[in-house]
Amino acid sequence: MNIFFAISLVFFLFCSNGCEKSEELISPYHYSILPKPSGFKIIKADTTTTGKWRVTMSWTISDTSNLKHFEVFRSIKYSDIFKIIQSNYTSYTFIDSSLPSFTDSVKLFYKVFPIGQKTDIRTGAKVTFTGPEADIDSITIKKPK
Amino acid sequence: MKIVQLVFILLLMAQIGASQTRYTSLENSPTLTIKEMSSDPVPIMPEWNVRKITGLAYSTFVPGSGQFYLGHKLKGSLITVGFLASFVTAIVSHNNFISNRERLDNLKYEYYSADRYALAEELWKQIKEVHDEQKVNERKRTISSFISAGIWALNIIDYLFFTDDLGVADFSNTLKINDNLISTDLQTIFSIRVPL
Repeated sequence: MNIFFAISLVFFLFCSNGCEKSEELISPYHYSILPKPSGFKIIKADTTTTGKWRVTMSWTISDTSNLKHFEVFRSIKYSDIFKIIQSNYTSYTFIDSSLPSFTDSVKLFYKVFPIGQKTDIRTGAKVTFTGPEADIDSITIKKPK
Repeated sequence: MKIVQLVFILLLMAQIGASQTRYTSLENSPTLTIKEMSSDPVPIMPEWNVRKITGLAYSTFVPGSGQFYLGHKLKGSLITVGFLASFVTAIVSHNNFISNRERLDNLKYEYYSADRYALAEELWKQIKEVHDEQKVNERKRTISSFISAGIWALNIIDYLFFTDDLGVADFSNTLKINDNLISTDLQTIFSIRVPL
């Protein structure tokens, strides 16, 4: 009969301790490195004294402890094909005066990314980290007739 | 949960241990009689013989096969199917659990290496999904393991106390042989000796 005790014990020990438990969920680090730029908006679109169009936008950011600079992106007509128009930008107001030529009107989309640095958990080294993008803002520019 | 397991084990041991003290165990003769130590009517341990011991060995390693061997084919089949189903479920769940763990390790590596918030956020969502899936597989594995163990234990208890030998219609092909032709030697050939 001892064999049945042994097999019973093996079964129940297998059930209770034999299989490893799932690990605890790791805590997310990416929320605390860089905040999302807030209040991103296009303030105005006007022309320079030489007649070039320019678009002025601004934003704020709540925590600058890991912030190094910003990158500004622009898309023409569509809101999904963005190209970088300014990198290593350290101010909170940006003027885009390099608009492409257009006939009657053009719709422009802008967004801004904060660029900072994070500490690699495994190596301890400081590495570049691109933070969450600000909400996209857009403006339609029309040439006066 | 561990307390429940412990209580179950103790009850199982107490039950089998009590049966040991109440009945004499097997000794040298192929057919052994039971000597009741008390006058309690239940449980009634069936008479032990070579077939009973062989079936016990079957039931120990494949639950239900001992009952099948003794002629309780429906009961034996149900126990076997139930045990195998829960056991296979436990194995599959454990395999999925291991796969989830490996996937989590890879995702964690990518997550810690991410250089963009968007990528990190996407990986983080995947980590949460896989972690939840791993929890579900862990639960399924635990439940299936306990069901398997429970069926095994009930199978042994059923075999010891509630399964009578219905005859020699067992796994062998002796069904078509005249009973008179079945000698003790032939039965010995088709049976397995288990020294307990």
